[in-house]
Amino acid sequence: MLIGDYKATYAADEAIFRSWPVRYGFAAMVAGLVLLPFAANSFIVFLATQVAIYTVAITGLNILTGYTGLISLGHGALVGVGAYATAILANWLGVPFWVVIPMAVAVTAGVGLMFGLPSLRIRGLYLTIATLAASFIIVFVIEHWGSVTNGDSGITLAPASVFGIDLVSDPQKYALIVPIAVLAVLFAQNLFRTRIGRAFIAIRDSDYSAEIIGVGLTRYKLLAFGLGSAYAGLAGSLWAYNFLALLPTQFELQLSIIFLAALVVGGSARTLGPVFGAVFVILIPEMLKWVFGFLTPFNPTIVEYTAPANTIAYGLLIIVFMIFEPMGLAAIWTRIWRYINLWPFSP
Amino acid sequence: MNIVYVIEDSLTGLMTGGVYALIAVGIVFVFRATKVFNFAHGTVMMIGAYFYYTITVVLGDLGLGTWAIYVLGVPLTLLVSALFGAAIERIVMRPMLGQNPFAMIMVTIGLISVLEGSAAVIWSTNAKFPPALVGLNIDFVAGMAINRQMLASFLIAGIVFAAITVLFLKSKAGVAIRATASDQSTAYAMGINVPRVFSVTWMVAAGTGALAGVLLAPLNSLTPGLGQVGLSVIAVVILGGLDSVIGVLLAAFIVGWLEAMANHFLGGDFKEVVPYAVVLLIILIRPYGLLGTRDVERV
Amino acid sequence: MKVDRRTVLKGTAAVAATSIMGMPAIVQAQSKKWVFAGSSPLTGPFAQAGTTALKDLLDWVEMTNDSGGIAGRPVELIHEDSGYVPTNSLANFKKAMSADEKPIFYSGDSTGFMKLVAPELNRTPVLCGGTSFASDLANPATNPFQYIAGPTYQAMFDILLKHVKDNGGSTVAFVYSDTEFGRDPIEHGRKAAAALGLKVVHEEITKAAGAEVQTHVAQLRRANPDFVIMHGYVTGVWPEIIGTARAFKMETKFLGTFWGMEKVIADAVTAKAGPILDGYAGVLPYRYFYEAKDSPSYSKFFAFKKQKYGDKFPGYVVTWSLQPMFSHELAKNAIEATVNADKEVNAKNLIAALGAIKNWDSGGYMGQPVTVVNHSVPQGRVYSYSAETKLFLPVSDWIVT
Repeated sequence: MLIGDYKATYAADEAIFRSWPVRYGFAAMVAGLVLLPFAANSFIVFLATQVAIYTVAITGLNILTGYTGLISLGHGALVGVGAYATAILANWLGVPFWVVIPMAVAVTAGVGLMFGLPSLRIRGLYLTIATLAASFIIVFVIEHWGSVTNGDSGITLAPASVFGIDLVSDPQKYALIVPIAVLAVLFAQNLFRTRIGRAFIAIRDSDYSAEIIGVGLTRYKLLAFGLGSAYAGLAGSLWAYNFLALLPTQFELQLSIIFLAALVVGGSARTLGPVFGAVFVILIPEMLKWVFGFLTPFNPTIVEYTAPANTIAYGLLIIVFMIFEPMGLAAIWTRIWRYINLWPFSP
Repeated sequence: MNIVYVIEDSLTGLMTGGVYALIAVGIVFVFRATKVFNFAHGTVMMIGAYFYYTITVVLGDLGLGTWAIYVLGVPLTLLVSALFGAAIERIVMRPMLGQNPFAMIMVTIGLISVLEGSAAVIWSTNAKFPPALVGLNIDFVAGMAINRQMLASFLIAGIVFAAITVLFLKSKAGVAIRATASDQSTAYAMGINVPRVFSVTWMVAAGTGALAGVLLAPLNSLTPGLGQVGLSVIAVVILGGLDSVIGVLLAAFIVGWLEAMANHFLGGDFKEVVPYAVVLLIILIRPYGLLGTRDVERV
Repeated sequence: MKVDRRTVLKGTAAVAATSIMGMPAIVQAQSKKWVFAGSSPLTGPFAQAGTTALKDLLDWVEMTNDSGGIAGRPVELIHEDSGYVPTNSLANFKKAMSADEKPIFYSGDSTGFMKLVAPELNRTPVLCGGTSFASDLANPATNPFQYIAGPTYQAMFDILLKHVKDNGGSTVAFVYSDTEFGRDPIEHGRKAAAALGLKVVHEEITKAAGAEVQTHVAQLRRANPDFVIMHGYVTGVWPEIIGTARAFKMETKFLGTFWGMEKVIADAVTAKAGPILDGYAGVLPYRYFYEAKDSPSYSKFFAFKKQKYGDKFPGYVVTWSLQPMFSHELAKNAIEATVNADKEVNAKNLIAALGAIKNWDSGGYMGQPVTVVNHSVPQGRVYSYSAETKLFLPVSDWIVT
């Protein structure tokens, strides 16, 4: 029984899993993720894979926006860069996925760095718009560089293959993508126990102060862009291997806005924030469809009202969550855990 | 390349810029007072256009002539929209007062879904064709086509814009808005009713937005998707400098002109991307936009 | 790992959640039916076309079931909203395909979806039609399970360019939206025009919706072509372009393709802006619904609607609905052929049956007997709008390309 969150050693304070409920909670989650493909039908597995991909992308955005304070509206386009780089490299070189993915991540990090350069000069919302411009430019290039990207007809690639088995079914793709996503989230969690992560947080809280205490702004801001974009690239790679067909329009501004919404609703600057955010933006629309499907089984002709009602409900959920918990779902989660932790002495 | 054509397209671009300015000024107003970038502004404008549509239909049913649209229709639209803006502020934004601006921006993004969905439920997704204030008519001046409809939109936008600027600079409400913008807590301490200032800015924003909607909707058909225009105005707001009313006017002309020129020289597919690329270059040179306030930060 | 109350609770909760969500939307014991699934754009830019079409399609299904279903079995239609986002359509597709009762036919709602779903179809094959006329889809080698319920956009351009040639035009301009939909037939159009000896004097690219058209029309005026072919629009932009061109006092004739040929839109534009659309022509693969006297299929649907809705039925069904209805008619035909041939009803046999349709009488949807070529039905007729009668009337014979 815990009666408070007291740490007696530095090691305890720096631990990845700070207390036993977190430890067992993580173990239970891993067990749940392993069991899921056996328990659920392929659509659920597909949604879970989508959640994993979004989680990786939003974790990247979290590094950039949540921890370092550089709000990006170009993240969706960077995921597109990762996805297209994967498809193009796989098609050109014909090498296996474990060679392609690091290459695509590197390409995306490079592109991200390029569009991160303005961050050295401009700040705040102006920087956001620089990333917005980046989003338009990237999608434009993908659409118009037909000889490489196949333009707006889209591009296809061969499935990832492990020991000669092509990963085409949903459980197979799940088995490839979800472990990578879990590792990526753990890596991010770990990052904020290091000098780099702490430097990011210092920059977010006040970049001038950070510079005064010895954080090189140029280096760390670019590093944040590089890391965030690398995550976007990884997400893009996984996206490519999950869908096996890509269209430029999938990576337009809308996707960036969804990522940003997911981050804030999930809880920015929290490790679990991206996870909750991804679950929210992927599962809530499906659940709403399901609920509205239940409400209207006998009169399908009123779809012209239920479909927009669905949109309204989604928007309302975002607003209500923001009004009641501006720190995001992760904050609610923390409160619940704290309650469990301290039970029976919970406040 | 024919210079007459370039001038003709330039004029068209500048006139489009006038309407952009009218849309953008609403975002600037709300941003100045509340520090919230209102992504939902385009959708608020769309709702305003639907108000206009409904009011004209009702006026038509009452058997009143076209004059009623000018005398009753437009003022009523502005009034209803302003009240609507105030309601949004009161119901959705007020509870967020003092929260981190990030969460408030998200609320405006949620608002986009709510308003678009509501418009589809209330007015259906079928395209509507509200009457234009000025009919489509093209005059030829010195071999150049001048669209009366666009010219009128441009003039209306200009007049409203000028009126707002004067209000902003001279009236008591304007002073209160500027005071709130420069320092919220001091404004509170000096007896300014800050929540009311927020209310007023939202009313002005929704009103100008609705007027822009009235001007834009008849050019195309009116559907819940009209709000998407709001997104293309982001470039204008940023170029102008987020919180500068004059800057935004200048920026609107620049972006309108750039769009026309991109279309003229490069083709329609460049129309959207060129202004963004240019804006990116300009803010690299001027990090606070053309006329934005330079933040002085004390550490 | 110590198993305690909490982990057990969590695990059970997770399993419970997944099993609830995994349940099919409608659990029915009876399996003697055909499940047709699909995505529709019920929200988003094409919501007007999507909702109208879905409602008419539901009536089509009801009518079909009333008259004995398909090969003696009733049809159940499951459609979900996509917002015209291909990724959403794909999720809908996956959901439909993982249900306990798998659909035997899936109806897609965009070219983007048809492209995204292609790799999936190799793994979970299903007969797949949809609202797209994209030329890439008329290729059994690369898209073995997909078909087009009419001519490809390229074939539509062929018909229009022939119309231009027949009407004494020598120069033509293309106006199209900055989308995959818009760009689809353009390159082919350039070649086809050259082959006919027509000169493409200008190409203008616009936004798909909400475009400011004056600069575009100004460019057209300078090029001053005899004909302008507009492609890649549904409810908007094309009427504005014509309106502005008329205000510019341009004499150019305007032509359109299937999705921009709806009478409801043309009528609304005429009511607002006067007879600017007079003489606007375009290619339609199907008859308009008011030509029901030439079409037993339309007459039957008319009677059904009249009986169901009484005076609330305006007597007209939009072209946006005729397209999915015809697409489903083709699927119906394929199922019947497969059942009659005593073959197993699966994706492979269905698409084979559909691809083999020859000289089929479509009941007047199309003017010529329907022969499927490369999973498409390459025929159409040029119709021209008259602001006076508010009808699109045929100005050419049925052209089979």
